[in-house]
Amino acid sequence: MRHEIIRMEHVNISRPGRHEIEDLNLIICRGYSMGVAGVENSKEILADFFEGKGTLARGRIYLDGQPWKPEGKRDFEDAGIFVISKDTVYMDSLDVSENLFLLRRNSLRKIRLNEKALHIQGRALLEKYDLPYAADEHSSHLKNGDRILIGMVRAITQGARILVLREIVSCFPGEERRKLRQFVNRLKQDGITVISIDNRADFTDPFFDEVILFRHHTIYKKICQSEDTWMIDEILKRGLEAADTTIPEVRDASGKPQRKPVDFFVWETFRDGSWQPQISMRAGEILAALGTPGQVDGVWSDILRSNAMQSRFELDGEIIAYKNIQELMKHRIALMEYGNHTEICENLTNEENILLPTYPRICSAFGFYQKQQKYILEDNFLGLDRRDIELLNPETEAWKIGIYRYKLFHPRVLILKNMLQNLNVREVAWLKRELREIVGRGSSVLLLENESKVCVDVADRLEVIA
Amino acid sequence: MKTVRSFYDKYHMEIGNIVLILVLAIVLFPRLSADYVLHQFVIIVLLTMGLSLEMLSGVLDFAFMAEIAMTTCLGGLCLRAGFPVWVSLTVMILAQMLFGMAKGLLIGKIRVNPILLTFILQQIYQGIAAVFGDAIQAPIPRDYYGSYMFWMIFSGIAVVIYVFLQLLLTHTYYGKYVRMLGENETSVKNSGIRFDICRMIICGISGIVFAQVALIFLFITNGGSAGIGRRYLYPVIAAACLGGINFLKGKGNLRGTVLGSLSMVLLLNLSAGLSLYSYFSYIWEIAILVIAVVIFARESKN
Repeated sequence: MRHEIIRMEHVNISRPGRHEIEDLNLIICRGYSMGVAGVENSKEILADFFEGKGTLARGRIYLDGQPWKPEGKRDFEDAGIFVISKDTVYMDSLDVSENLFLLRRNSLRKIRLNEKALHIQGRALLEKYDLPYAADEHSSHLKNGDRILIGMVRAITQGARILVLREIVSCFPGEERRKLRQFVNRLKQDGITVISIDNRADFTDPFFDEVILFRHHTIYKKICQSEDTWMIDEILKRGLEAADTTIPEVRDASGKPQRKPVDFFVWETFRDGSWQPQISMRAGEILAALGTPGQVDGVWSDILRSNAMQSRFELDGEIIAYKNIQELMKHRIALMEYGNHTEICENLTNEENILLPTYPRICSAFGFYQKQQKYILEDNFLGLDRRDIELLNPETEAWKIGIYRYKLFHPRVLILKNMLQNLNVREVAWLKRELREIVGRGSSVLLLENESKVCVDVADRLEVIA
Repeated sequence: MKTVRSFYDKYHMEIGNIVLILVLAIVLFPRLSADYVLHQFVIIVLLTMGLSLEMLSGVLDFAFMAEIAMTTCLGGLCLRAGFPVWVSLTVMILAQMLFGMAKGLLIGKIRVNPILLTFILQQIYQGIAAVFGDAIQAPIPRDYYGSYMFWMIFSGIAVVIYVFLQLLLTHTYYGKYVRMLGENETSVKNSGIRFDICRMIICGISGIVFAQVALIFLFITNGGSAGIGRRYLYPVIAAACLGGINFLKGKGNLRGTVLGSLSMVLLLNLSAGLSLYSYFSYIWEIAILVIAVVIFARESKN
């Protein structure tokens, strides 16, 4: 029988600004390997909790059979639970063994650094885990995957019993994944538990002892290796809903006939020596591009970090090679991500935040007039009650301010990331109404989402990100 | 070719400084006073070493000259009150160390941009020094400025400090913490190191180095004043930058610091040597700072 490290009984975990995980029942044993997958934020909340960022709202946790209430990262590290993510701490100015032994809580009484001993210990550890790095190697050239492996070894030297791997599989492309697989197997042999919070379960061999699938913020299914492995693959590869969702044909739900039969907006990336279209849309259409969280993040970061050589847009026949978001805004391509409203200024009122990008068009040479503000917000364009606007909470309803802003800005294309999946039913209905108005004025809307169920209702067309 | 390339990559700052020193020495040779250069060099190299330690840990300090001014005022007050010389000097060193530690603790705890915080501290210290101890005349019996032995002692102290800091940076945990703080303070914090205490200790050590300059100022000016040494603020920062101390990435070494200090001393002499207005020195200092910041920012971005 395996030694139990952690037992969770009817646990609810909350995180500010996100849904809770509800009724979580888990037993984590020594030398166990577990996968956690899902297409909502639940697995991220669980990872945050292991990093000491979540709050235990309900239920009980037992550590080694004793009741335990962790209150921060330090409690988890003292219990031997370490989270390794793609942002794992690594210093270019230190060599490999210094990275192993210095980036941790050290006693400040220790002054003299015995580099020889440090390198000997580092070498022994690297040999033990078959890692092909020199202990005294200056490591600025190491790849992200190598840095993650070194971070994992560092956690082990700090007494890790459970390693939580947070979406790191994408850092090990191609052949490098073999390295990760070998390393994880070695950890299991040493009795270290590995929890992989990632939708990609194809790196372990043999498979995980158990895979937990989250759906609607609770455990949907626990799948063990001996049964239903085909189901894990299917669901993880295609998303929880993708397996049984019939993708509808183009609908005319916006209430307006398609103005152009050809693609109005195309996002292209430069790969293998040519420009390849990734997503294409028509005018006045709401398109939902669906994918795993990693794929959605990938598309988003490709769009944000783009330069003229890697990514471009084709809008109504015009090629738009851009270097930053400002250039996109000039072409009236607007972007918005749920939960990341850095463009909302705290020092401005909600009205001013809504009107901000539209100022240059409506402002006179000497400034902005209250009269015009009223005219735009109340009488003519948005038809809003100004008191209602000021009642919007900029912290929790910043996304609404953003939608109003872009409705007024009248973008040619509006790209929204992770919007629907984070809203409740009433908010989705509100957003649907607003988006219909936006596309009714000739704009196109692209939704980057990872849950298809809500999108079916809102979007005219669904596409799965390749 | 590859060896030459790697040698250049490793030592390009030193090579640049040596070339600059040689050129300036040739230009200034007939008018250069060895004593004057030595005096200036001792002061600037001590200041630059103290500042470099802070800059390597990611802090660009604008308060150090104000701290020194305050310490000289404190020393002057102690001497005038009749304390023995050794007591006054000990008080000065301890006070300077405490100023440094307070600065480090504030930077670590408040997490305000160090530049802003040290600007504020500069104004506070100068104000306090002006109120309590401006233009203090201390009863110092002889003129130390012209004393050969005096400058030799402080040259020796500079060498000892150089060796000490070199050992600190290469053979101690704190040396590594300095580099780590300079490279990425957030990572240091996330890895569980008590970075605020580390920063306090590092700034305390810098304070001890700065205290040596406060002692020099006390002896050569026979007292203290709120504006003492203010002229050295930008040349010292420029000297550290010339020496390749990258405060945006925790990179650089003490060898570069020494060469940068010597380059700066000669550059300061250039205005006088070429009979130019002293304002030209300001232009060079600020030009060096601007160029250094642009280069460091680009390196950091890469």
